Amino acid sequence: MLRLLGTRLAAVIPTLLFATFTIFGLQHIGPADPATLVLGENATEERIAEVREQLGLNDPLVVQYGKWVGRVATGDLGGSIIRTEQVSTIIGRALPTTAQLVLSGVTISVLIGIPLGILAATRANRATDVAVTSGSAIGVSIPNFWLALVLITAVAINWGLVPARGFATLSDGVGEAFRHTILPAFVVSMSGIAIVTRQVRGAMIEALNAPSVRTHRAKGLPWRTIVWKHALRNSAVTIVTVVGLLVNTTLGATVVVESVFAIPGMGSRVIGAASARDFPVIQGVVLTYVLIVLAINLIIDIAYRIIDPRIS
Amino acid sequence: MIGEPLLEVRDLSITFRTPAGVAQAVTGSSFTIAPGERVGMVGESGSGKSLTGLSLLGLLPPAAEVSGEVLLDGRNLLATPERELRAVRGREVSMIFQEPMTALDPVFTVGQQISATFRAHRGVGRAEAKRRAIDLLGEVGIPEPARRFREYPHQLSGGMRQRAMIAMALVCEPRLLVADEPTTALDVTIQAQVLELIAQLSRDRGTAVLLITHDLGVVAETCDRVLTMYAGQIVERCSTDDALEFPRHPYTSGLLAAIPRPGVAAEDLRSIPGRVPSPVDLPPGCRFGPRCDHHQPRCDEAQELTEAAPGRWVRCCRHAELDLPGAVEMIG
Amino acid sequence: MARFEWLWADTRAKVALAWLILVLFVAATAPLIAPNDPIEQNLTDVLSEPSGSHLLGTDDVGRDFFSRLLHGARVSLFGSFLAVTVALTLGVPVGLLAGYLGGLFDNVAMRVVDSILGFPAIVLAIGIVAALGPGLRNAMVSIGVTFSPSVARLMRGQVLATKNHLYVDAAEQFGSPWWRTIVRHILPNAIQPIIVQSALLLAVAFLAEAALSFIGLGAQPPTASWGAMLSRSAQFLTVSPSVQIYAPGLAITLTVLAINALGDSLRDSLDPVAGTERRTRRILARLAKTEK
Repeated sequence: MLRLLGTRLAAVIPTLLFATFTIFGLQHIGPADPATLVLGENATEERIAEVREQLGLNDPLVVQYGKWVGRVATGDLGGSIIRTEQVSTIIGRALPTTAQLVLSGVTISVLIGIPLGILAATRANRATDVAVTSGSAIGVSIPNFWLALVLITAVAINWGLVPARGFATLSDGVGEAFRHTILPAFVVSMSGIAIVTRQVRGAMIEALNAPSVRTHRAKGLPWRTIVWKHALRNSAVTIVTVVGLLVNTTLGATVVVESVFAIPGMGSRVIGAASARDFPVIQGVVLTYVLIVLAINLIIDIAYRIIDPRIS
Repeated sequence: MIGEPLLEVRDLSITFRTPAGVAQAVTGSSFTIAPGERVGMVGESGSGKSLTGLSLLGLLPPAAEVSGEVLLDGRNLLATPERELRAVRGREVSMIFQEPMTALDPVFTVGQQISATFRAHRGVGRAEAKRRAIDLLGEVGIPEPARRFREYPHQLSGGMRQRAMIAMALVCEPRLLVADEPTTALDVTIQAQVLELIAQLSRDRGTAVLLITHDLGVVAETCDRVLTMYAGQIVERCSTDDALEFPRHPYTSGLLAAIPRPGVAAEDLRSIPGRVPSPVDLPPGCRFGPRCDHHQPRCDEAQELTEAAPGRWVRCCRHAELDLPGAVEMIG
Repeated sequence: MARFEWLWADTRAKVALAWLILVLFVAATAPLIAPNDPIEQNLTDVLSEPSGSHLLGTDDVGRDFFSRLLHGARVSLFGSFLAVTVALTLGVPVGLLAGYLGGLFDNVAMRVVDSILGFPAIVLAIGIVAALGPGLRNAMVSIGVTFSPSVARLMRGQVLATKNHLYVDAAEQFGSPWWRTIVRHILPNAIQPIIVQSALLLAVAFLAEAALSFIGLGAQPPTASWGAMLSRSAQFLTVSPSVQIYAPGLAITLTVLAINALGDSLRDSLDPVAGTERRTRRILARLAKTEK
C-alpha cells in the first residue's frame, strides 16, 4: 500500500507542475502589467520600473516561476493587493466555510442520489424510472445560482424558515451552522444529485443484469438483499468514481452559490479577487482547489483497490 | 416408474410476445424425475432447455407467459408466490450455471457466497455457516478449503470455480439439482472430473439431477435417462442406454453423430446441417422436418409424442420404420 | 431526409428542437420583435409589475424586461457558441496530433490535458477572465479554454480508434502526406462523436455564460444576458416583481434542457449500437425482475 501511494504521488508531480505553471502564468497572459496592478493606473513610470525590479518582473519567466514555486512550497502565497492581509490568512479563514458547504453538498448528493438511482434501476423504464431520469435531466440543467435565488425567496424570505444570507460554521454551534448550511448545501448538491442518480442507475442496471444475480436468486436470496447488498457492492467502483467527480463539481458549484448567499468562503473570495485583479488571492484559491482535487483523485485511486478485489 | 416422482412437469409451455410475433420457447413439455434419479436434457441452443431448467426454480423472466404445471412433491411451483419460492430455491431445488466466472459474484469471497445460502435457509450463525461451507468445499474436492473460503472467484481456476458453485448449490442438501451446461466452459479433462463429481455426489446423497447439455456424450457418462429437446418440444424420452444404442428419433441420432470422441477430429464430426427454426416461425408439422434426411409428406402434420415401446416415447411418425444408427455403429 | 429520422422518432427531441428553434428565432429577430429598446432607461417607472405596456414589467432602471429577455437570448447564445468554437479550435488539432503522432507530443499534450481537467472549470475560467479582463468575449474564451481538454481527449481517442484501420495504412503506403491522411481519412470518422460532444458542451457553456455574467465577469452593463438580468433581479430580490426572478432562470433551464436532450438523441442516433444496447438493457432489466 505504501509503495502504491509512492508511485501515485510520483505520477501526480507532472500534473502539479503544469497546474502550478498555469496558475503562475495567469497574471502574465493578460494585457495588464502586474506592477501597474499593484500600484494602480496613476503611478509614475519610475515608480513602476522600481516595483518591477522589486517584484522580480525583469527576470526571465522561468526564474520568476521558480522563485514563486519556492515561496508557495513553504506556504507563502504572498500578500493580497487590495487587502492588507496575507493570502494564506484569507484562505485559512475561508476554507473551513467552503469545506463545510462542499462536504454537506456531497453528503446530500450521495444520500439522495444513490437511493434514487437504485429506485430507477429496479424499475427500469417504468413510470418511476422515467420520472427519476427526467428529474435528473432537469437537475443538471438548472443554473444553481437561480435555484438559490428561488429558494431564498421562498424558504428564507417568504416562509422565514432559514436565514437568507450569511453563514455559520460548526464553531458557532451546531444548530446555527445547520440553519445556515442546509439551503446553500441543497443548492450546490443539485447537479450532484442528478449526476449520482444517473451513474448509479446505469451501474445498478448493469449489476442487476449480471449472471451472478441469477445465481443469487437461484440460491433463494431475497430480492432486497440482492439489490442492496450484491448489486450495490458490484456498483461500488462506479459510486466511488462519482463521489470523486462530485467533489470537483460541488467545489465548482459553491463558487457562484456562495456569492448569492453572501457566504464568506473561497468562492466569494475568488470572485471578489477576480473583479479587483488581486492575483495573489486568485492564485492562492485556485492552487488550493487544484490540491484538493488532486488529493481526492489520489484517495479514490486507492479506494478502488480496497473495494474491488479484481483490481490489484 | 416406481414410487412417487420427486418432480413432475405437466404440459409445460413457455411463450414470449415479441415484436415479430409470439415466440414459442417451450411447447407441451412433460416429464418426471424420480428421487435420486439423474436425467439428461439434450438439444442445441435455442431448444428451450435452459428455460425449462429455470422454470423448475420459478426463475423464468417476468415477460415469459407460462402454462402447465411444475409439481415438486405435488405442489405447483408455477402457482407458488415469490416469497414461498425463495424457500424452495437453494433448499429444495438448486441450480448451477454454465460460466462459473460470471455466475459467481466477483466482489464477494467464495466462502461468503456459500455461507449466505446456508444462512438464508437455515438461519444459523456466521461461524456455523463457515464450518459447513469449508466442509463442503472439501467434499467437492477443493484442496485447502479453509484458504479457498477466503478467496475471490477470480483467484480460483475454472474447474475450482465450478466445484465451488456445486458446493454452493448443495450446501442445503437440495433434493433436485438443475445443472445447466455445467462443463461447457471447462477443459476436457476438467469436464470429466466435474461430471464425475456431480454423479458421485448425486449417488452419495440421493440428490436428483437434471443435467442440461448440448452434448449427448456428457449425458451418456452421467445420466439414467435422456430427454431430447428440439425447438421447444421433447422429441424423445427414454433410458440413456436405449438412446445411445437405438435412437428412435432422427434428431437424437444426429446428436449422437456429433459427440466428440477420441480418434475423430473435430471437423470430421457430423453436425446436423441447417439451423434450429426461429421460435416465432416454427414449421407446422414436425419441427425437425426441414433438417431431416428422412422427411416425407406425412411429416408435415403435427407430430405427437407416442409410446414406441414401454418407457420409450418418440415424436416421429416414422419411428417404427426407420433404422437409425446408434453410438455403437458410429464408433464401429 | 433519412439522416434526420432520429429527430422525428423521438418526441423528446422534437419538443427540444421546437424550443431551440424558438430561441434561435428570437435571438435572430430580437431587434425587430422586441417592443422596446432593451437599454433605454426610464427612471420614473422602475421595478414595475407586468402590465399591458410592459409584459414582464420594468427593471431597476426602468428598462422593459420583456425586451431585455428577447435580446438576452442573442447574447447568451452568442456567448455559448463562442465558447464551444474556442474549445473545438484548441482541442481538435491538439487531440488529432496527439493521437496521430503519438510519442513525446502525445505524452506532453495528455499531461497538460490531465492537469487542466484537474481544475474545477469555473474557477480556472474565473482566473483567466481576471487576467484578460471582464466581458462576455473574454469570459467565453476562458470557458472555451477550460473545455478544450475534454475535446482533445475525445479527439485523440477517435484518432487512435481509426488510425490502425486498413484504409489509413493504405493511404500512407500510397504516399499520401500525413496532413492529407488526417483530413481525408481520420477526421471524417471522428466528426460524429465530436458533434455530440459539442452539443453537450454547448449546454454547459450556456450555464457557464449565465454564471459568469451573474457574478459580473461576463456580459457587462447595459448588455442584457439572461445571467446578467438575474444578477440585477437578485440585487433587488425583495422588491423585484417575482416574474423577473423566474423568467430568465426558466429560459436558461429550458434551453439547457433542450440542448442536452437534443445532444442525447443525437448520440443515440449516431451510435446505433449504443442505442440498441440501451434498449436491450431496458428489456433485460425488465426480464431480470419478477418481484413486484
